[in-house]
Amino acid sequence: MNANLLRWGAVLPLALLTLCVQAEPGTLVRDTQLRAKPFIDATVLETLPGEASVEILLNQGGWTQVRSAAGHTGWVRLLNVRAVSAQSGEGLVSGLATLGNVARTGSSGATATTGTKGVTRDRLERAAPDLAEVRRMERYRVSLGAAQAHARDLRLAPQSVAFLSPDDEPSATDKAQAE
Amino acid sequence: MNTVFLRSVRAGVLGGCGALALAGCQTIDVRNINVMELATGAGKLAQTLSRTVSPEEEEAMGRDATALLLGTAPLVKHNGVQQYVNQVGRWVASQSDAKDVEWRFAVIDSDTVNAFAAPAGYVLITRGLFMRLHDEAELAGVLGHEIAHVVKGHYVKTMLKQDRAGALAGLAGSLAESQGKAEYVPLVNLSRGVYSSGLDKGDEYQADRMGVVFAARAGYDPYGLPRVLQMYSASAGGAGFELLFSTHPSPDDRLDKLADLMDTRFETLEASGQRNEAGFKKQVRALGGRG
Repeated sequence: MNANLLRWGAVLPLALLTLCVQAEPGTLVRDTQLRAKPFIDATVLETLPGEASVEILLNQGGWTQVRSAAGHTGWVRLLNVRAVSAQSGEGLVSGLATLGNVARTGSSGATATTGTKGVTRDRLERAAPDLAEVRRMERYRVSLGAAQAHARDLRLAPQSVAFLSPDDEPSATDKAQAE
Repeated sequence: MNTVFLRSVRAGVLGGCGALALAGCQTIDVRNINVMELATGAGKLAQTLSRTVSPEEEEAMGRDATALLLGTAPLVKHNGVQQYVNQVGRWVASQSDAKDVEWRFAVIDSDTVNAFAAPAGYVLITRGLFMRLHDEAELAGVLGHEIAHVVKGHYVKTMLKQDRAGALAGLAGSLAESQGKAEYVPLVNLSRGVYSSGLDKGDEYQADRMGVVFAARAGYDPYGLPRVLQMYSASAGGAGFELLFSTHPSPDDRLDKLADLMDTRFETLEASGQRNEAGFKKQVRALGGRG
């Protein structure tokens, strides 16, 4: 019985992963309650211990939908979960990495990229600056009024939110200048 | 004017800075700076401490750094998407206390996943990152992080710190000569190093904290930036993430720091915050994505 459970415990997540391309292996970083819905007062399906392995299904707001090793699908707080990346060697190749243009080179997890276009360290070393492109960028600038109109269309209401650290407060001179 | 000074040796120069502050200068508070690295000569340290950056110089620093970044990857040629990113960015930026910055945002044609800020209000996001986002709250979080780099003068500070060749000493003269019509080569070369090596870790953590707050103040779901960091975490080792990973603290460390600070403080905003998933996906489709 126990041996059977263990075997299913190992095989089920793999089988489910093949059914659901989006699933990512993950681990919890602290004891977490698995809830039936993404609400703080929703029914608790299971209490999962820190470091428990889960399958990450999707993120929504401050919540992540996961499947537990016991097979429950429910919601945990987003910041209580960490994806187990392909690079760490603990999990399977991540869905995102396989979608990208990646060739795996052995078990080290090192990747060889082919034809990546854009901002790379190599290009930063040798690219010629393009001032004409900066001038084109200027043309896309919008007024504060246009930005406020976009916010009104979306019913984005400004909120009063304090900084998370006293280090982030503007200095007295910044404030003086802003007034 | 921007005055850069070192907190750890602030007492010694407080008089001078105080006088500048009274004269209405903007003071950038420099932390986490390696004093030993700077203090290769007492003269050089004094020079860095007393260095002030005029608005014209700051604009040149931002312009030339952006010219380099656009030299590696041009603008995405889509007016609608560029306008959209400017509307979102300008709205998020208006939640900061910096009222006199000329904000300019753009999506650049790069497969790599990254976003950049430059002095004086330049902000770039790569197409590779834009296409991986799911909603406008995530975009607001990414732009909020870059806006914080500008507001806190992180790139100005880092350029001053890394300017071992003395590029900035000749900037004012070069500006007078070229009247801003050409890039200043020593500044471009300084930018190559700064954008290859990145900022101090402390600057990145601060930009995460402030990015979450700016997006929340703007009325967005405050978990946009944490969701993007989760995506980075799941993508470690993936193609296109190399520069991002080599220039930033690990996404897991960044998430740990935010987890401690955010805790339950954002629960109300989480419920009321907007995501505009439909509107955002329309922009992704406009660039050829599945949305």
